[in-house]
Amino acid sequence: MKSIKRIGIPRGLLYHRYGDIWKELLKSMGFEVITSPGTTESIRDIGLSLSVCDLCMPIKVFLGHVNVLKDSVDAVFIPRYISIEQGAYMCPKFIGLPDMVRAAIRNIPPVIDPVMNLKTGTIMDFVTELNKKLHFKTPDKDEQLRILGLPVKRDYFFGEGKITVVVTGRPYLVFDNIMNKGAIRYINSLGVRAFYFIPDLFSTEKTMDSLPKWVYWSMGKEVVTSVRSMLDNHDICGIINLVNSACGPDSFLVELITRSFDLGKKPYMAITIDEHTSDVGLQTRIEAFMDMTLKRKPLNAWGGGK
Amino acid sequence: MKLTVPHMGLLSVAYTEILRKHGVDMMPPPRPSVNTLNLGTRNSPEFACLPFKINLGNMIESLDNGADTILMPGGSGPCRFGYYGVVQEQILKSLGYEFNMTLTDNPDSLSGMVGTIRDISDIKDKKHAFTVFYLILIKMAALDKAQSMYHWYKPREINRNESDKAYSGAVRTIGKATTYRELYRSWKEVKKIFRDVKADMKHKPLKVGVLGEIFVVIEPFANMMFEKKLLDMGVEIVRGVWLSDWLNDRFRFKPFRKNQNKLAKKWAYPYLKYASGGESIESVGKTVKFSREGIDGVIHIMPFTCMPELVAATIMNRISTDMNYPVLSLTFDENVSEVNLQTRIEAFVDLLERRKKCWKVS
Repeated sequence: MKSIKRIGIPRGLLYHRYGDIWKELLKSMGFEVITSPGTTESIRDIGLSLSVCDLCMPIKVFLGHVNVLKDSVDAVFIPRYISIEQGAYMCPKFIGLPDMVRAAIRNIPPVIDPVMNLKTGTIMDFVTELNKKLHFKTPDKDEQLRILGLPVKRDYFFGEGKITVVVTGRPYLVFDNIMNKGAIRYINSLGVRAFYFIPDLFSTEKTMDSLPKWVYWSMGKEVVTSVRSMLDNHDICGIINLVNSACGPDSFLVELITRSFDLGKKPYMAITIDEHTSDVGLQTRIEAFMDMTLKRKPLNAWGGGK
Repeated sequence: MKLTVPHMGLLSVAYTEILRKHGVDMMPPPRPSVNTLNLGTRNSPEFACLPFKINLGNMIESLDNGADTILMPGGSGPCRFGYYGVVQEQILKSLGYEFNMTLTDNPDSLSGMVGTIRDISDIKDKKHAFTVFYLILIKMAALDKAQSMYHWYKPREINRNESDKAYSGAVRTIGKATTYRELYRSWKEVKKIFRDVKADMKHKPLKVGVLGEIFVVIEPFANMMFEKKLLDMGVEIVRGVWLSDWLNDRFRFKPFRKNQNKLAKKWAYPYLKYASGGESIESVGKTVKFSREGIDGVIHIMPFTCMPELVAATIMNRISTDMNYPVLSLTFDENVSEVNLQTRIEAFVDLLERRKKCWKVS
């Protein structure tokens, strides 16, 4: 077997959450890390041509990223995230992701797919499997565990502006400007600041307890909680929920949000996006939403009162 | 209390009579129809999968007929099924219905199911509840067995539609059984019914494996009587997904039947290393198995936007090209046209026939 020196990380899906950690981890082990370029339209189109028709867009784009990477690296790093906390799963497509990539793309270099399953296992299992798969003989496991335990950035502000709207949704949709059709850039161009955040554990538990049943998708939990906790926040003037078309968990969670929470408190809009969405349609909706929000301003006690 | 449970294939035949005998006022919803689907589609989220819509339609219909308690299994797997009950309850409440929803959150555990039976019926003894639950399971297995016999006899029958009559007679006979003894007798009768069907034993029909999401496979309305269409073309169906197998993997009521899930995991290992919920591992594993067993082709059916089956569909595409083995993936939702389905199946069967002839010649 060829020895592995250059490892590629596709810039899609969970890269937007854990990418920095993965890069640091692999660099600390002495590998050269290459990430694929940011999503372009051609990457998206390659991905579309590689996948089954009714898959969701992020997976299709991910396949495009792998396809771009595959010739320039010795191995592709696609960890299999089954669950990242007790009592919750990731989406089923994440669980099968490495196998899907192997199946969909031909002549692919070895896929490094250590399993992250905190439902039954520990992070140590992840590290052990990673070392085994990379034939890494002299691991410094303490260092690896330290890097894996590094905190991820939880609050993001996009652009500048006097008023702020919260953008919720999956990180791979919010941070990818091709996938969200420049929705966030457009919000900024209206003079509005966008805010994306990962809710903390306390408010997650509080929100989940108020629901009839805990949401068992980790990322779905975040979406529901960030909508719920921002309804009471007076510094925020509106909530925009970016949803993938054909996203399994979100198809139910959008319904759950509209039916369980008192959305009269704050303007709320769910935008469904897929690869066919027109930019103009999206812009009209955002513009209408912002107009509505600004009209509502004098009625409400939000913001500006500092 | 008038209890209703949404339909899932022949499952309602298995439990209705038995639970009625034990004091449950069962009120099964009408069999799914176009009206059910319309009701369900109108009231469900846009991208909910087909089983959700049919279940919701079923619930609305039976609430209209006067039911007041709904039993809905749940779960906490990665698939959306575990969250069905919660969303359905909210939708029905907002439509103005008043009812109780019993969510069995742990359908995989025996004690949970036995507890449910004790809650809804007048059985208070734990041991008795166990026996009743196992009777339901064994009855389900008998129904599945009858169906597989029908799949075998139908393409080989000499008098047209004789096996259809035999099958419906068999389901009726088994459905009446409420004790172990009656079930045993009815099974003897079923065997006799099928033995009377005149069949051409030497005929070797095409064999097509049917795999996919369990609800769509076993509920004839959800797949637009797709199995009937195949059988009418003279094709033998080898089904890879059975409700009794699914139950057997969890409750082990048939000790000599191997755990199908574990077997499928073994077969699927080169392609799919972890089960990603639903029937993904069965679909992949059994495609590999069918390709080795001399089954001519596989039809893989799933509801639109089904997450686990999409993983399987991607991988089955690859298996198909790797092994040079025909696989057809069909997606079902409320907008599928029946004629389109018919055309695609016919084309697929033609392809298989031609392929078989070519193999024979060479």
